[in-house]
Amino acid sequence: MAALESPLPGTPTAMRNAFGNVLSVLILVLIGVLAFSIRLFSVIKYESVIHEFDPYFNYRVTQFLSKNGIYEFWNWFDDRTWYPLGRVIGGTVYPGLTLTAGTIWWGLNSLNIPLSVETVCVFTAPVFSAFASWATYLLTKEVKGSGAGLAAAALLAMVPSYISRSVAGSYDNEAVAIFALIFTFYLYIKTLNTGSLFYATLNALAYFYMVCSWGGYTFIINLIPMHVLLCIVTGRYSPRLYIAYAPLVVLGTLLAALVPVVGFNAVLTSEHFASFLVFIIIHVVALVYYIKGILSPKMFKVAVTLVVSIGMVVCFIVVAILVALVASSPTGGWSGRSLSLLDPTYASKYIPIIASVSEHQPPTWPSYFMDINVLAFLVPAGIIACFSPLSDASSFVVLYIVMSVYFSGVMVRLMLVLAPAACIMSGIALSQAFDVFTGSIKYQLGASSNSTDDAEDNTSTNNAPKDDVSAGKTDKGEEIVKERSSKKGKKKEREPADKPSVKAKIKKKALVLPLEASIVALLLLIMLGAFYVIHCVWAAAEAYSAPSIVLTSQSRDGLHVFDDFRESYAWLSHNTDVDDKVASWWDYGYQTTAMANRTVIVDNNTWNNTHIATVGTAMSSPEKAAWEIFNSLDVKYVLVVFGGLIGYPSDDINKFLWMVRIGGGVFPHIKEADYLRDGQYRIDSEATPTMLNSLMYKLSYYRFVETDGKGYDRVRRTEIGKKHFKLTHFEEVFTSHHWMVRLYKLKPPRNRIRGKAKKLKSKTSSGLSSKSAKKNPWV
Amino acid sequence: MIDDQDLGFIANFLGIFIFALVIAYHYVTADPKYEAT
Repeated sequence: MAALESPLPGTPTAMRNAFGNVLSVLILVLIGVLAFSIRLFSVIKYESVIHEFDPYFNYRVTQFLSKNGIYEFWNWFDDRTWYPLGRVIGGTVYPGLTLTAGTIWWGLNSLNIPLSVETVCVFTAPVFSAFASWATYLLTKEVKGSGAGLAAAALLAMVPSYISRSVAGSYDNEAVAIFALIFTFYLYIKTLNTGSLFYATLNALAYFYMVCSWGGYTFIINLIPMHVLLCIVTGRYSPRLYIAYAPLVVLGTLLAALVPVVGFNAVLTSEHFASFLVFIIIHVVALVYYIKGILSPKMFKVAVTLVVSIGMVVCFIVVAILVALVASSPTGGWSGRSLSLLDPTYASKYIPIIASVSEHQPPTWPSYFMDINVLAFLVPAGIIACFSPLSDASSFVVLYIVMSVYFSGVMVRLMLVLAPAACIMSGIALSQAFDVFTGSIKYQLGASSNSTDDAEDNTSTNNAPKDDVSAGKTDKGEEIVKERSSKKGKKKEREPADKPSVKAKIKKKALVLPLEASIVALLLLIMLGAFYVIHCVWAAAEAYSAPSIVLTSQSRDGLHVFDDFRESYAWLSHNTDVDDKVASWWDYGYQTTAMANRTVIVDNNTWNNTHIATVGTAMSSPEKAAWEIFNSLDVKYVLVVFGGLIGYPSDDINKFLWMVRIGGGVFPHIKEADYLRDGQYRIDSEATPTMLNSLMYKLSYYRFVETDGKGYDRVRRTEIGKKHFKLTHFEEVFTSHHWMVRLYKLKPPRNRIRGKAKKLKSKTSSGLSSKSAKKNPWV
Repeated sequence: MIDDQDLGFIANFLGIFIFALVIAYHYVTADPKYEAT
């Protein structure tokens, strides 16, 4: 293996490698700079602010952590959410992101760099995007060499799918989790290639970090066992595979159980069972290989027959017990989100709270083009490149892309898991193409001048793989492939170096393309790359940088800024008592606690379906029934988001059917059909009386007719059905500048003495029953 | 102060420049003698 030996210093190969290394370091630095800077549009176009909903909760937790320390954080019981239940934050949150940002903040302050917690939180995601790009380089380098690694890292630095979750201000778990995911995969492949227990331990630690960061860790703990199983089935078992897998399962599971939110789930829930099953299988296979080594072939055959027949019976019994155990649990042993992965229609059928989240819907075809752009066309080429030649590492990335394509088809949120796989595959494809074209150009340019040198170097290069252009480079993937090659291949290697086969000669000559064709092809590839870059920058600047908390619109008069959310939360914070409870749909729970510091009934954690259904029912009920529900929950204020005036489509009226469905799931008297006219959702004069009398309708459209005289809803593009009405149990206390947020206060119940007097009066005059009078003390 | 158009230009330039550098890397590390057999 002459090609794998380190070249002598001063030789052209050594110079080439040295120059290549310097260039790759430069490229990696620039990739880091690009990954960071492309995510700054949100800060430059808007301001340095935390985005959307979940990041506000993470920010609040980080603030608590930096203020009170880690022990207080673990024991934190938050009584400001899920009133009156509260929430144990330390035990129910994935702490990876907050601990990371908290550590960065602490480190910077220790170095006398006084950044605020908010600033650290805003810039955590862009920093980790740079890390993720570098991790992609390492992973792809293990699979197909440095060239592919650089191409993949460059693609990942700006892939829109990842940008959508990691712009500055998008302080969510995925920001660090994607880095952890890629880095865990890198360490797995590194262990697989080297067989080093050191890397295996690091792999378990990286997996631990991933478990700390995101619930998506179950993807890792299912994908790696699948790959191990694939290797075993295809006869690729090796001690390296054992070292890569067994410590990960043992150490990784122990470490995962240390994370409070996971705890014993690491061994009890069926998402983790695949890893244990494969753990058993790999031990059986290892034992078989060991016995095969010490027994004669004849004895081995007898032993196999005996063990297989006994093993089949035992396996059958174990599988039967497992199936019975899994089937006996309420959800069949699988959590709702996982079940909806296997059966895409599961959530929409059975769990409206999962189906109601837009990111849990299946993606459309255009969203693939928007989110991964040209990568969608390069991926097939990358898969083909992975098969020539197929190694353990390349089979892993093929499995990764296949699984992530499937999962991304189920849930649009999982496009995020697909993006790194698509970048790796596309990087491999591009690198293979670059290799052919640059190699051809270099050969054609150097052929005339260096023709005399070629003959003498033939002996050192003939041993390189015959069908791989990049084989001159000393990448590990090749080494492994060669070690695993069949006996036939080994015989070939032993052939005298000065007698290359005719077939190999033909193949090598075919790889050299004409100079002009190579240059044109490279220019076309640069154009393709430029198209990708321009699309990514456009997506980062225009599509994915809006913080959702501040909205803008461009009109003929210039830029309009809608800052209604912050205006309303500030009003709440300044004009209400600190212990007042605010009810809203769960989307706005995190923001209300983080920005207004008021107690909410439900929030984005969505852990208690009944509680959310109670709020949904209140919103769907007539005013009086809603008042009773809210009053029983000690609610003082109700917040609704309304977009009808300015045309903001993500308002509560558009989410209302989900409130009805979720409410109806627990309280059967709420029926979706009552809110639909002939199966259509309407708010105009054709709307059903139930719809027009629902609290949500009334709170959204109260006094709306005063704005334009007609009550024209710009989102639904129609005039509203019920224009003039009064509220009996609620009073309007605040409406934001553009009417996006409306706050209502629950009226106090009428004085009981007056009610009594009324009752007496009515008894004497009309003879109404005392029962009905009692039921309605407010009127 | 940098505005979003400047950042857009910088990001576009940097992205395309990185692509060119990756091609340059492949060119530098390509082994012409291997191809010459």
